[in-house]
Amino acid sequence: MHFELIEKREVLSALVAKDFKARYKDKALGRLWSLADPLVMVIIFTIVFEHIFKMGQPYFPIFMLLGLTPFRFFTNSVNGASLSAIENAQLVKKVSFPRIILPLASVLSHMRHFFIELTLVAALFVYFTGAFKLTINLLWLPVLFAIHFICIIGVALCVSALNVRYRDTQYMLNSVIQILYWMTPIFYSFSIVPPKFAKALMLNPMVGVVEGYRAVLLGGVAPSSTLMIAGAIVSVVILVIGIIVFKKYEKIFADYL
Amino acid sequence: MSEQNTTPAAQMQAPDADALTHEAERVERQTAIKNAPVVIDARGVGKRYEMHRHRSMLLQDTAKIAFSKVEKNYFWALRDVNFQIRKGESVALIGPNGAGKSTLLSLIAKTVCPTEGKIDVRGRVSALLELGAGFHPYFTGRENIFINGIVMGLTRAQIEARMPEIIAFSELEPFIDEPIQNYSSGMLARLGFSVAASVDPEILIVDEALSVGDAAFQEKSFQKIQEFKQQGCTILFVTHSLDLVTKFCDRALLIAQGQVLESGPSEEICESYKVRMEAGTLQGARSPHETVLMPFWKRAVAMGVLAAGLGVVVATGIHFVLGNTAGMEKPAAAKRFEQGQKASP
Repeated sequence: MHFELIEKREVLSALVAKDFKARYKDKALGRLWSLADPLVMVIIFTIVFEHIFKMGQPYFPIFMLLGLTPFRFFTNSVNGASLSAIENAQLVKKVSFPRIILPLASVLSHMRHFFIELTLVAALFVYFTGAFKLTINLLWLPVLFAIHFICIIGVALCVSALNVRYRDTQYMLNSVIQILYWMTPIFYSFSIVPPKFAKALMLNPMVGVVEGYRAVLLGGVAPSSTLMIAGAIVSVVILVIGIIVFKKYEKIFADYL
Repeated sequence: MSEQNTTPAAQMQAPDADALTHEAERVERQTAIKNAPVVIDARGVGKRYEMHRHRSMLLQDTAKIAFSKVEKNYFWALRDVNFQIRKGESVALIGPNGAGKSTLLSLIAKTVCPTEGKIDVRGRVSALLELGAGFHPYFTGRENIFINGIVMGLTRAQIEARMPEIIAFSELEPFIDEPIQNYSSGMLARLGFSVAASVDPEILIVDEALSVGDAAFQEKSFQKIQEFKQQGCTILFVTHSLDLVTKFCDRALLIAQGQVLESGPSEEICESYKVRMEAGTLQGARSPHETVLMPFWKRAVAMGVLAAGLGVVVATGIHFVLGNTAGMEKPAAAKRFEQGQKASP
């Protein structure tokens, strides 16, 4: 399978480009739109949490975006992947290619959005001089991104295959994402979570990822090893489950579309 | 033929010489095919579809499992299919609607996996049934040629090299940089065929879908297919036009009710097909469905779950509505009310 995937990498990149371009075709502002959402959220939540609740979190807009952007990468990819086979039904029914390309293309296309959204974070770092800590700990970023990416791919494989067989998946996904949204420290810091919830929260790999990004970029310290290891283990487990589920259902894709 | 050659002289000479070379060509082709390697080999192939398959997962299903005797209904679209096709052969698949021809094509194109048996396909398959696979309405004709070509197995460089040829063949030059959502259906078919024809396949699958476009373009696409045939490409043809079959194909497979009934030279098979159709002995889809009974343990578990659920509902109802509330914590409002009554003299 892996060999075939390398052979078909041009199909993958064509589908990524198609998915990415289709979103902004005929829009006057083009890809600037992917900045609109996080921008609106950062303004509203800064007003609510900093000026009404008076949380007193230093550099709150950056703090929040470092939670929100990685989480949006997760949500958008997973949502996109769950629909990837259905949206490309014509392709699945008529051409033989490794089906795994469909969810992968969706995730990679949203990865490009993620990098675009990161420019907003970069802009804020320029604005709040002093927030950014240039330390050796920045080397943790690739490790954190790997955990982030593995987790996303695992969930994406799972839901893209399940959604072909059981369309309920899509609806269930919406609820699960709502729960995960509040179980991820986006507006709060993991340190304020009471110990009785902390253990349960650690099952969500996004906790380790988000806290890691914050530790490295805002705090200039190494990410908490407990959170990171927990996140890595859970992500790998999710990936293995994803691969098993995908292998089981990929054979019947054309039968159910 | 016979009507054209009514003059005795023409009847004597020209057709004979013509027929002879034709016959010689045919024999030569036959022997070449006989020695060619097998490229498609189906051994005991069957494809089963689950009927009534839109089942949900949760409560609805529990009730269904508990009370229905049948777990699944299956329909065999193809069963016990055996055949071999050699390199360079043109083979027609003929049969009534619902016979399983399209399922067979999907199995050969590998978009669908067989439920049983094995089907070996050697060589690059291009299916003209996938006209416009992956076309996206927002993109221009040129962009779609790229996406479509890559999906069908060409590399980026190959498409770039063939682009002028593809555009020329489609005759869509003036509109090629327009988004295809503004194309007519005929234009889309032209674009699709032009890309599909540029893939130089080893095995070509031609479905009925080809008969789109105007007469001139149909003629042109047929020429293109003929070219592929001469280049030694294996061709599978699905059509209801028996004339086309006898004219174009070396061999035909007669398929009905999910099985290959007959296989042989296309003239013979077409004749037999006509006879059978007139006699009304051919049926399309296979009627007997396979039924899998609900296993006892599944029913037992589902009954248990339902009973437990019902039990919880009934118990809560009795507890709150009819039950003795003496032992229960009284609502705060009720307590305050009682205290207030005690306090007041």
